[in-house]
Amino acid sequence: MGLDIRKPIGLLFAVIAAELLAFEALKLVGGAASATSMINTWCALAFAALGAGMLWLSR
Amino acid sequence: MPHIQLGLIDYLILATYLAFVLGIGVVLRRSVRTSTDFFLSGRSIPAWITGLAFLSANLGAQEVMGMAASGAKYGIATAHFYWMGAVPAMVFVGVFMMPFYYGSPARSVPEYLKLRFDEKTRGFNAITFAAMTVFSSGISLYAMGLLLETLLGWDLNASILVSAIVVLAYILLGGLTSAIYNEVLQFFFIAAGFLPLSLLALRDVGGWAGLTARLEKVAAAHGYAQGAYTQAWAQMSDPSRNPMGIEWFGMAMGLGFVLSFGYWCTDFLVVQRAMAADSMLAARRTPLIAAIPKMAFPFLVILPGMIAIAFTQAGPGEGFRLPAKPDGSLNFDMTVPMMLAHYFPSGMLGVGLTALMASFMSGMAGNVTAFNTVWTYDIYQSYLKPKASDDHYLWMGRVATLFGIAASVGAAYAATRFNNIMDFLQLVFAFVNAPLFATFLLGMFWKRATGHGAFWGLVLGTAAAAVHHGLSLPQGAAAGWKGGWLGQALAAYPSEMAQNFWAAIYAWTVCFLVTTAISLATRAHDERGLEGLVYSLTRMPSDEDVVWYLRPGPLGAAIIALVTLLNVIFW
Repeated sequence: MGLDIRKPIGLLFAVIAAELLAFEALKLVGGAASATSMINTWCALAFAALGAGMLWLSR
Repeated sequence: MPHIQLGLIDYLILATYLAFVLGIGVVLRRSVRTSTDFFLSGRSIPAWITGLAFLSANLGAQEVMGMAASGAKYGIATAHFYWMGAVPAMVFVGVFMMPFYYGSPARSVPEYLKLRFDEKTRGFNAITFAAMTVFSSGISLYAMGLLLETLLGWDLNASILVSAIVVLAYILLGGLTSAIYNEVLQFFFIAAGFLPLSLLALRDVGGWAGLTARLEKVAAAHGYAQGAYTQAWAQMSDPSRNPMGIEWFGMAMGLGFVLSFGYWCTDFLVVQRAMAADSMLAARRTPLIAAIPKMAFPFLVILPGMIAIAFTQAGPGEGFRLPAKPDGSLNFDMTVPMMLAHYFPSGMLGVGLTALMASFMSGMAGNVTAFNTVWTYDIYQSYLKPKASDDHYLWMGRVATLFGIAASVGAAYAATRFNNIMDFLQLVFAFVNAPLFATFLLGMFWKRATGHGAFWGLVLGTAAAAVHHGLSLPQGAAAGWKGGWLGQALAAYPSEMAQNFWAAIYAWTVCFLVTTAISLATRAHDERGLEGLVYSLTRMPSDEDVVWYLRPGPLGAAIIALVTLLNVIFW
């Protein structure tokens, strides 16, 4: 039907991973990183892997 | 309850998700040219997509919020809604029933009833189903608005209207295809939002051993048997031994057979996803593919509920506690949002709340797409304007979408007047779906079943559920919405859940017996007209050219083996 759904799923997770990582990087630079930052960072890495996997499957 | 403060990053994640959801609708708008494209996706979607959509269309408010709340209230027995109350029925519909839905000329479940039985049976089902979908969609919308108001302090009206407009936009643009593709996106988002929550909470509680130790204290405090919250079957010998207040027969027959098969095998909301598949094999594999992640969902939605009650009633876990209602009882409905707020920092909190919104939207879109199809094909085309052009029906489908969403918003505001509307909705499902399953079972597997038998079976089966409700009451409830409205209550159940299961058993049994008796007393259908609609008169599709492990039969057997194993592990 004119759309491979794996592309938007891959892109969405890649964008959200980038947003979370950028947020944590800004916190780190501003000296506001905390113990919970690891939750965002690990989840962002998992989302990045999921997004990359989806984009690879849709190539 | 103090409101949760969201950060800029949380809003950014929500906005990103909404942009993608609407973007999918925009991209797909060019692919909708005919009414078949709009209502049935042109029967062009691969099995893995229809499979995940089949699962996701069911992931509405009741599923995510309700199952976590039930996990807190009833413990692991809630997993029966998946391992016994869903997976076997999903295998049955894929292996045995899908050839009739997909292989017949029917475009909807009510239309199948017309072809198999007669016009009045189709009309009865189409009207009750259309009303049920609008009502259900409205409840979902209201529940989401209420959640956002309670949790975040957002305006109820704005939350309801914005969510309705987003769902309206992507269905109007891309029809069923857009709804299905968004359901797949929503499935991944829901899994991504809830999996980290389960893992973090499980680590906090000390793993399964830590959770079991705490829940044994909770069971003892309530006077239940040891293991009442962590053993799925062992405490089902007597209703007083488990918090659900049900014994194994009521559970297996009421939920495992009647309610489960009634929903998964006959509800057009889910069946429509399989009917959009690109081949008969894909349609048959759709519910089987859905059954695989379905088995794992208790770990995503029920486990957090069990952990929440363990922390609340058997010792603190980093200070987590379920909130109380004004009357002092625990507010189980707040389990998921409170767990999200407790475990997720700003960032992942946005992901978790967006996942919650995604579940509401996928549930609502599922109802609206099923409504616009049944309205256009089974009511408008059949009774109001037959023989119009395809363009006209496509236009009517879009109008029905608009009307369905507007009616859902109306139902959402009507729901604000009732404080126990969710329980009432569950009861309505038992009234409608339970007798319908008896009709389908006889219609598909007994060629002697007739239209008069099916119609009166449905009417009297539904009436039997109503009479049962009017003559029974759950423990501690006053006569009214919860039952007993026909005078002296003849039966008292330990819980509303037990009452609903037994209502379903009575409705199914009456429908089955009435349909059988009236069918035997009325003239049989001409067998030539039943080919492709009844098992004994239909050649089942061959899948010999497919590798054995991808055939529906072996795949279904493997899924049943896996779900049996889960039942044994958590016995």
